[in-house]
Amino acid sequence: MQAAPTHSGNNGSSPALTAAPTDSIMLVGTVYDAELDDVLPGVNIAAWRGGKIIAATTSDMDGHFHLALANADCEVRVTYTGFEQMVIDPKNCLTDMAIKLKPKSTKMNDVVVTGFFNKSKVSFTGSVTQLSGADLKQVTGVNIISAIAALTPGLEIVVNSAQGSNPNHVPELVMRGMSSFSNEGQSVNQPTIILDGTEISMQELYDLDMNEVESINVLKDAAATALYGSKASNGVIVITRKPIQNSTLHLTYNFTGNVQIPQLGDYQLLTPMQKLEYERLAGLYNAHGAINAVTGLPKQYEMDELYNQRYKTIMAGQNSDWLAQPSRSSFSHDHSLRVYGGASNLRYELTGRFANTHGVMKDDLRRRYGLGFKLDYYIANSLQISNRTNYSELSTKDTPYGSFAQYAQMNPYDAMYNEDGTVNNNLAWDLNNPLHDATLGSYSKAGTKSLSNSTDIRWDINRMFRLTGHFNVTSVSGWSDTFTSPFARRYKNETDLSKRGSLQKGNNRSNSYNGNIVGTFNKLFKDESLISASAGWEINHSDSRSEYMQAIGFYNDAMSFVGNAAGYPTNSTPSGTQGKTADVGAFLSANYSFRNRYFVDGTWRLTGSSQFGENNRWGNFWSAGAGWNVMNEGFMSAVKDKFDVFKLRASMGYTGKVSFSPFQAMTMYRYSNTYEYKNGIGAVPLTIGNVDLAWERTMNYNVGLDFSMFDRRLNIVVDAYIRNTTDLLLNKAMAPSTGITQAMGNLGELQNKGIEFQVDGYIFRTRDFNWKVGTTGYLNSNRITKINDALKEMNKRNEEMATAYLEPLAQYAEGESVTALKLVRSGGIDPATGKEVYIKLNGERTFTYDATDRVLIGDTQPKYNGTANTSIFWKGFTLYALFDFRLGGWIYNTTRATKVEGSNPKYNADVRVFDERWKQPGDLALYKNIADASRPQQTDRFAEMENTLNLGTLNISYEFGKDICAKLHARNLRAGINFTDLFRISSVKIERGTDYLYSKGFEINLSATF
Amino acid sequence: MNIKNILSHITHPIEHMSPLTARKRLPLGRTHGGRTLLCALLIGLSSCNSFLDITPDGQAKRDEMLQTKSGIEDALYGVYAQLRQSNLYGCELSIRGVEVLAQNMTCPGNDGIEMLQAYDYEKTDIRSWAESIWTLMYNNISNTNSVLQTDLVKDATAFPFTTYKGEALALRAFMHFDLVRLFTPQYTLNQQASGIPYQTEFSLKTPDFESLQKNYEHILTDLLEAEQLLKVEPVHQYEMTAFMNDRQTHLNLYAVWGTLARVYLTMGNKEKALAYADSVITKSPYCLKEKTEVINDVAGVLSQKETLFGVYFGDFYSTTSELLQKRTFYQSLDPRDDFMDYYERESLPLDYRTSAYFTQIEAGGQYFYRLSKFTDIYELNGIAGSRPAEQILGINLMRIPEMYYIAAECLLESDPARAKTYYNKVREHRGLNTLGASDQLTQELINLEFFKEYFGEGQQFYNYKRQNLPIVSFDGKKTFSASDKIYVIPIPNSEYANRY
Repeated sequence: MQAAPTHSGNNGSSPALTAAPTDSIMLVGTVYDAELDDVLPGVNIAAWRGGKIIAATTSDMDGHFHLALANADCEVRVTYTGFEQMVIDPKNCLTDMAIKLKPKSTKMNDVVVTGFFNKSKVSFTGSVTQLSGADLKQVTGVNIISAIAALTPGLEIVVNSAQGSNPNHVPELVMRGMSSFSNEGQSVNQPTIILDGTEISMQELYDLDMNEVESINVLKDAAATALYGSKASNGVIVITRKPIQNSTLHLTYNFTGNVQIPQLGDYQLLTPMQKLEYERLAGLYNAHGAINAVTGLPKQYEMDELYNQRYKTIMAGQNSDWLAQPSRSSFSHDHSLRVYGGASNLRYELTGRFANTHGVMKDDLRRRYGLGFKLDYYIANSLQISNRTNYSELSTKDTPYGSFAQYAQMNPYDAMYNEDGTVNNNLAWDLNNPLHDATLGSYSKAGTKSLSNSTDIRWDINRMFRLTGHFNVTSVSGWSDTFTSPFARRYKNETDLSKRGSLQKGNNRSNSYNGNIVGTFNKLFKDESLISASAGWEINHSDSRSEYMQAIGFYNDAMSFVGNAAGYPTNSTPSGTQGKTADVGAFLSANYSFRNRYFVDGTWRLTGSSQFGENNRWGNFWSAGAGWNVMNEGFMSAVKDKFDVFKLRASMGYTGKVSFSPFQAMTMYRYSNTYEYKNGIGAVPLTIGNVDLAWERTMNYNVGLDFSMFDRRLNIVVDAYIRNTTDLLLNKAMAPSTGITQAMGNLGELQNKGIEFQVDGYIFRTRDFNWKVGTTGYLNSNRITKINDALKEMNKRNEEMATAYLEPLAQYAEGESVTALKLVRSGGIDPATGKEVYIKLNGERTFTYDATDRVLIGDTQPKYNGTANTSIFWKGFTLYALFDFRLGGWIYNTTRATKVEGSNPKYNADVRVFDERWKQPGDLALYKNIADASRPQQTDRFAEMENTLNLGTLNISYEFGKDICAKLHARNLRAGINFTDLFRISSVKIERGTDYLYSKGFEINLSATF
Repeated sequence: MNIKNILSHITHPIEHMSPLTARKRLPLGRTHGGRTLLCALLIGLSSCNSFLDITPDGQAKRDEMLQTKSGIEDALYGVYAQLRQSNLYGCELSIRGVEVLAQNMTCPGNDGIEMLQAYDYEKTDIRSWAESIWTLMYNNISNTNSVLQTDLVKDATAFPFTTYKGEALALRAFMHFDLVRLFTPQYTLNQQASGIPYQTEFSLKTPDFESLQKNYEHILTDLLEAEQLLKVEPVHQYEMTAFMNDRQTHLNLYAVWGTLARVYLTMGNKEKALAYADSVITKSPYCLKEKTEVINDVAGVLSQKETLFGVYFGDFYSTTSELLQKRTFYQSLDPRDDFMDYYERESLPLDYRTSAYFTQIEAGGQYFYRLSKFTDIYELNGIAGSRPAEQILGINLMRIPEMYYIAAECLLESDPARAKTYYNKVREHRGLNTLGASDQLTQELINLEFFKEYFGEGQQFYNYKRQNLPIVSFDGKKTFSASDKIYVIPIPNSEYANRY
């Protein structure tokens, strides 16, 4: 933003100095667009003195302006929407100046991309986190979702300890706390994801090529998301792909190689000898004086023989490494190629991608293929049309080894294979060898193909009005095959050969289109006040269906072709689902900024959706916000040059979320051949539609501070929010005489409150060396503000089912979090009997467990989530480290409850199984009698507060110098290595990755532009 | 063009007729301006509402479907079809559950059956058995109300809408009546007893419990209105529309009379019961079949001569074959041990029903009686293709002999001679000797006839209950004295728990 009045060679007129000391000056000049080298009409040129405008003019159709000034004691600001402001000191002004304004939009930090139109960041009142593609790649080059979550305060990945590092498990996100009762599945908390104007699914985001991403705007509060109306409650993630630069032919190649090794460190299992000893102590070899009816000899003889036999095997060195069987070290690779170029009128881009990902459990894979083509056509200052076609393919295969937990419970003194190499199916205690099924021809595969085409039009009608249009058509088809071998253990007792083996086939198709048209109006006044307003409408339509069928009776493992099946299972019919949704929306959004100091903005959105109930077909959503650019105040003028941004903002607004099927809102009859009735076919209502059913509503309040000073050496962003979600959808039980036993209603109310912040700064910053540190933090507290009978009913059901689940089920109560952990207090183990003592609500001690004595232990969600990062740059080298920590979340330690205390002595257990077990009267023990294999009741003995620290990323990269690049005929060359999940410290020792292992490893990144 | 379409949609005359839909439309007024603006923008779409009105394949919106005759008929077919769910008349309320309660059928080793035989209504399995009957019946009642609540049916003045309404009202009463018979005490013993909720709405509003007396008032109101509405039945019975065809599969006028006779008899109103039973006997096109026609007359099909009402069920054979014809352990049903003793076997002429209703099969060198009354012989012999076209596969829910028994019972004291003629008529048609002039007809004799005729048809338990008779266990070893303990199945807890 420096005033650099340059001389215009084009005009050919020679410059002349103005007569400096004279009172009046005439400024004369022409304003140009620095990039297009074209004149700019309508530009404001204003002379300011002491915060007031003393003279002002506007450039004419040819970009010329004249401005008469009484004296030179002022500053002249040249401002124009979409361009960077230029300040001129009239004292050293030239006549016939050529002022070249640089377009702003090339700098992503200056605008907020809403997905419909761009808002100026300076006067934005909402809460947004902006990330660039390079930021993401610094965190990981493999998983875009974890990269976004790591860099955005307030956005969390749902911890799924069972799925570990499964590459075929799509992570789930939660923004600013749970807004639904978690029993309905996490997907209800998912943010909306917009890729270049079109909504995409979480899975599509997961499979997106990170190299194509230019920027990501994570919109959090109502002022930012209200444009999305009924989809906005959980926040919106807006992704923009790279624009095509005006250049000669460029070619960029990116390579990411990923080596991962399984993390088995969470598993601390017994050695063979320990295991045998545990079995003995648990009484497995005690016949209790029984007599064998056939031989008439005491059974103890057989028991002793069995014990001795196993003892001998162990002494001979038998120690099977079951954990190693399903796991492996994996190598994955991802190649991405981008070719682009063009002149000012026509630009083109071709992208290609192939990524082959392998997880750390044997034989799984996820392959992604992508091909894209984009054409941009420009007419300078008037029209831009672009069309992009993308084709992508995905194929996945799950590991045939099944759940990892199966291997962790196998006994190490059992041989895995027989001497001839076949699977040993003769294991101790008649356990099933999981390797048996794993080595058969069973498989589970799936794939999708997707073709998408979008057209974008931007028409700059004149300097104030602009019209943009977006239209997208996407077609996706997918398939899935799950084959179970006829030799699988589950068919052991099936005598009918034509019923062994099964193939489940599924396929799905979906077609969707969406479009929007947005008109924007921008007017900049001479005093730098700005009005901008947008109006737009959009339509979305999607139609999807899926079909499933099953065939059984395969005589051979290797012939899983459906044509080889013997028939269909009895009592099974083909099944399918279909979903059609449509919505229409319109919005108005306006922003007024007074002299770049005070600003207000407001958005109104109307949505009509096929999913809403008949009485609520149209929904209104809105937001209002205000902000104050403290930096531009008069009293700040003395220190103004120290500040880059100093802004306070506040917003409130009302957004929604739909999470029910259309038939729940209006009564639909379903026809089916099961209702055939002699002379006609019957139809039956699916349910009694609740015509009053409405979207879940969230009232959002947000206040924030944006602060940046010393030429962006120190940056602070703080946001505090309250989100009150009302009308939460819940199924409530109905008296059967109503006609149905469950009805959906808008019943619950929840509140999330929180603070999130981001602080970063440079400790050193020179041309060759800089060191930057930063931290983000996020605190959220969740509270149920209103409970009702439906939830009480759910509590009761959860209580009844409690014994069937490993982890405690939710018990909802007003004033508590939806993720509260509630357990009965334990008085420890009675030294006399080895039984557990429970503490009742009134403090009384008892041996009888009563679920109603539960008290609140804590919240399973961490109190505090944060990250700390540092990056050091030195002569082309960059070192980046990202730590993340989660503090204060409570966890029910299932490993201690099932593998230390409640362990079945026939299975392998945690090494702690010996520690602190009660063995004889008088023992002061932490755990029950070692001979007691029953699963303990859910008490606070197994609750622990979890604090973890994880070094998620350690990245070293090098940008090659110009000379090396030149030698290799490259424009740009970059290489890096990225260590992921290098170490993790946790206060809780628990087996993680029970279904699929966690992994750690490193990525190698290579990027070259030619 | 677009706006006009929307307006015409909004001011659709039918929608205005209903206060319900009018109320529903009201809140839209607020955003009407916005919608018009929006719709005007939607080039190429006929209107917003049609864009947003999405109906998946195989589904229809209630409001649209019930605007047409065929839609209403489909909805009624849906109700009839749901009657044959296995927890309703498809099994439990016909051949299994209620027959076990009557100690007619048994299955050694089957826990559920044994609990039912012991009237252990508090057992979890039995509670859920009762709950499924209760729940599915009310669900189907609610589906019936959906039809009754649509404007075309509610305000029906002309055929065929009057017929739709008549059948729907009769269905509602029929289903409530059977719930009353299962879940409340016998009316004649305790008129002040509390009853069940009588559901008359298709809405999320839970109906209140009411007295048994009120229940019967409601049942009668619905049936009597149905009777009036269906009176035109004989005029239209030869119309060849699909709906007016095969009237035995509908709750037709004669079935409504029959139901009224049943209801009045249960209420102890013998005068009215007799009148309706007699109407059926004299005015309906149905009559007693000849003794030679007894064989296979109800073998998985509706009796062409005798059935007043039965549910069409194309796949009834799979139930009867598994449960009755075959003898699989822990599942299939055996008739009570002494059942043959009730039939007159020693003296000639033979009861034609013994050979028509029962067969013996051999298993492991032993012979077992099977109730083969309902076994479709065409399916059994694998010649389903040669079934005569006029046969209707299904379950008989009301046959004309019952009307003779009702008439006989009602006249037993007032006019024993006339009672005897009704009684003798059925015996004659079953190939048996009739009572002579000097023989006295007793209620016991009528009950015995009822037992022999209706074995396995799900009516026996109600007949015992109505007369407050003790029940002798299937093996003859125990007699359960008549009390609410055996005759009143407790109403499921969920009905009490979820009332708001």
